[in-house]
Amino acid sequence: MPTPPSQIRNFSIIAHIDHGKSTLADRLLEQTGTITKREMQAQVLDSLDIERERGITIKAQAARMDYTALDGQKYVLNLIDTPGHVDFGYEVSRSLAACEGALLVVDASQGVEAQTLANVQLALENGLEIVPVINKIDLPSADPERICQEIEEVLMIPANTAVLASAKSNIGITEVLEAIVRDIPPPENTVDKPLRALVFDSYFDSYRGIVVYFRIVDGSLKNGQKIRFMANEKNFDVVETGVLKPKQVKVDELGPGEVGYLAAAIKDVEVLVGDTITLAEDPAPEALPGYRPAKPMVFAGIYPVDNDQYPDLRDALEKLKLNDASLFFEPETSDALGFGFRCGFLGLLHMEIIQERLEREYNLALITTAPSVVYRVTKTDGTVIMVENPAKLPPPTYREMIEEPFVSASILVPNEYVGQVMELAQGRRGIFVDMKYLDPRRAMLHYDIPLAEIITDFFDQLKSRSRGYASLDYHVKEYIESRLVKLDILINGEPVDALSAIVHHDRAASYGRLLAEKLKKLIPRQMFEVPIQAAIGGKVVARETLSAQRKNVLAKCYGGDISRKRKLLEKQKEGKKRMKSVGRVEIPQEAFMALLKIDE
Amino acid sequence: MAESAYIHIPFCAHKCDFCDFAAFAGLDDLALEYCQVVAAEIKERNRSKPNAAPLRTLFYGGGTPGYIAPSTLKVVHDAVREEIGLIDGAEVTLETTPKSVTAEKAEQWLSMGINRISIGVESMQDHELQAMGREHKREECIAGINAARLGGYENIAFDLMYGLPEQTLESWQETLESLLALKPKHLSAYGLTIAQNSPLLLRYPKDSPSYPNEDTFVQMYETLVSTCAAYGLEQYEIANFAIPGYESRHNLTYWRNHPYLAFGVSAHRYVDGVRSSNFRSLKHYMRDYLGDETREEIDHLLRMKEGIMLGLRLRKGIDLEEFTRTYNVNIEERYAQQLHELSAGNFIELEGKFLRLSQKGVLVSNTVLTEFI
Repeated sequence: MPTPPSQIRNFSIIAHIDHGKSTLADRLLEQTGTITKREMQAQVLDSLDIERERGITIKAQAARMDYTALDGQKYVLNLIDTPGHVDFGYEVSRSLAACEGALLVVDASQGVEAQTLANVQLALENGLEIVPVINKIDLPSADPERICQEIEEVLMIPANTAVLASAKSNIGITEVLEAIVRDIPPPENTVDKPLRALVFDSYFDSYRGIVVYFRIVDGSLKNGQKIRFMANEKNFDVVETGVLKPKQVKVDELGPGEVGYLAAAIKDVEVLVGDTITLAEDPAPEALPGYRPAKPMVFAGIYPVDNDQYPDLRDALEKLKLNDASLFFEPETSDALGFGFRCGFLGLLHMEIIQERLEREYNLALITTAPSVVYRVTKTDGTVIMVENPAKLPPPTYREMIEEPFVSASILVPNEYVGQVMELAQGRRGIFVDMKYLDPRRAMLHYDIPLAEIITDFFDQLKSRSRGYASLDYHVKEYIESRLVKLDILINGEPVDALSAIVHHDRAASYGRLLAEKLKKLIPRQMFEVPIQAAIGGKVVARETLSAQRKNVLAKCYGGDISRKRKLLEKQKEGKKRMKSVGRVEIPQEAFMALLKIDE
Repeated sequence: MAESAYIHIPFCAHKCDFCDFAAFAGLDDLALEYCQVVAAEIKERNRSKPNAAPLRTLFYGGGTPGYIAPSTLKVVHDAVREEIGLIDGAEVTLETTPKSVTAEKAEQWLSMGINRISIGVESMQDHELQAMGREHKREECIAGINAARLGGYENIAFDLMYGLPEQTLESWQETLESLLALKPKHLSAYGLTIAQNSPLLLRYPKDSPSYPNEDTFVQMYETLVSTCAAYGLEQYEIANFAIPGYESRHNLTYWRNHPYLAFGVSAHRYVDGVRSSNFRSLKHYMRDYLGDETREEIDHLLRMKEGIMLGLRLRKGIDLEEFTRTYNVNIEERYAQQLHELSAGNFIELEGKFLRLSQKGVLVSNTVLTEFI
């Protein structure tokens, strides 16, 4: 029997990184007996290895909890987890669209951060009820009163009913559960309407095919029914339905407001996250509004080190895309790297995570080129093209103008670091918009900055210049014309397309020098001398020479231990195999990312 | 059937800082018992699988075989003679430090039939020897060499090392000159390689400026080659030089990829297509002298690759016709592309039917060889 909608509460948690979202989620699961202490892997909802290792949430995840409230009634609480990193704004909007409310977790000493601000805006736009929770109240530096005030002033949310909690010390957990039941509205009872369920996630399971996570908005779904995905109009017979506790538990029927999963032997078709599921026999007249589609902002080439792994890379990307709708890829070829893919990502972290998952989960040896934004190029004949790969930039004589994406960046920073942060933003071609004081301690800076400058090490620099206190949120604003040029790198006299970059004219020469120097450090010496040059429009602006390796001699072949000698050589050979041979030069993986690691 | 045997004698007066071999100081009391175990190993191995012919070369390596009493070593030597046998005129080499040589011991070794002596001089500069944790000094080197001569040795080989901490091109030149003036028949000179966890690294970490830089190292090698040539020593292997006729026949067995027997702790043998080694721990070996520490089947492909790896160490190079006969592989066809690139870069030379490393190739021989592995 489906749970009556009046007893359901669907919510997500909004928090800045490190403000304790995952710990709070763990406590809620524990207190409701959804997971016993013994089963508790620290931070249950972060189920990807990478998520746990990095202490961040990337993917939306769901957990259903049964809770008997103090009023004696039984409730079903569905938590849909949201990622906390700026790259994953899209995932956040997916999660929020499936909820009626959100817990806003704010650190009792840190206060509201730029990221929180952005996500609260998103939640309010989605019509969600916000329940503030002030976490870590047992820390000596905690100042809940000030934080409440800040929430009211900065976020314009009444905070007089904010729950004071410490997830780590198990304080206030019952109060959080009660607030969810009391303050978050139940879903509407629409059991009589035709089925409409919002797909918020999916992944590939080798036994059951594609498993779809969804939230029912209208109507109900029974195991065995024939469903239809409204965007691609494909029909499937449901063979399994269930709920997420958070591990999958089979149930036969799900009603309005419920969150669950289904398997329907879906193999090759693309299940679109954001699509609406309805019944084939009784289709809803109109699909639910999806989410704003994920728009990749950062592009990079991903190539197998070993060309034979190209088909494996394609399969792996297809599988990853299933539960990461924001991942974009299309085949491309590089003179230097052979066959690979141009991939689009939400941001740098997203890119690193995809690369890591491909290498770890699919056992691929990869080369990723330095990330690039999408440039808008007007050619001399008036046509406009979008360029995602610097190597594909038309030559200067064929282009009229290059425009690049600018973001509107909000940086929240304590007063004492404002100077350093402004210096950073200006050094990255940022255009100052305004500065407001959120409270006596902190300022909100607004800059328009080229996205290309953000995707290098801007975030790291921001953190290090503010001792970790500054926080950043940004969204793409518009394309603006810039004086940009293509920087080519020649190794051993040959241009290496995968090392090309589009850089600002004023800094192209110094970039070229730094890049050549960096490459000299990253490329191991070869058996011959290797010139490394940087050129702009055919003119060499920097040259470094990697001298030939002069000495690599085997030690004494002592007492007939020839196997050992051979194995040493085999090991050296293995090391070489992990490099990409361009022309006759062995270039290691890191070299292709050199552009990112240039410290000026 | 093997024509050569290696016997490992692990005892030393002192363990040098760079040493990565099975070598033990302060266990002298065990020497006799150890030699009896080795004799037993020789006996049992040869009885279960007799070697078809007497040996043409025998090599006592270590450790410092010259350190233990000659009468103790004789226990092993008698076992070899009685069980396997040595041909007339067999090359029998003993390794020693300069300090372990006395005229009296030299006479005894000679009377046992040890006709070649290899002295680990390493350097003639006291501060370099000290830096390496070597126990002797220059004067003691000279004294040891004189004692060997006095005891009747004419076939004397020296070992040297270069690329040492504190070493300069000038000091290396001086070491070479002063040593070659003593007219050895044979010289081995290896660039220093440091094993991980070597105590040497504590005083001289890998990036220490006390090591000669790469340019100097290369010059040291070039000096080595030219100085040896000036003294009539021919470079017959990348690190070995000899008056013609005095090449180490034992080591040529390895470089020609022929089989060899081995006895004693940590010793490696290559018999019937299998390379195996005895236990590296002395205690373990003495308890189970027939047990394997490592064992590897060398199939045809590996044998062929090792054939190239070893053959290219010889300055004469690989006899391509003989190689084809031995391995049924035509190197020029199979490695056409590698050979093309390596000869274009002047790393290898093809002279008549011989394929060999160029002098430039010798210095990066590791990198060259990986092309064939």
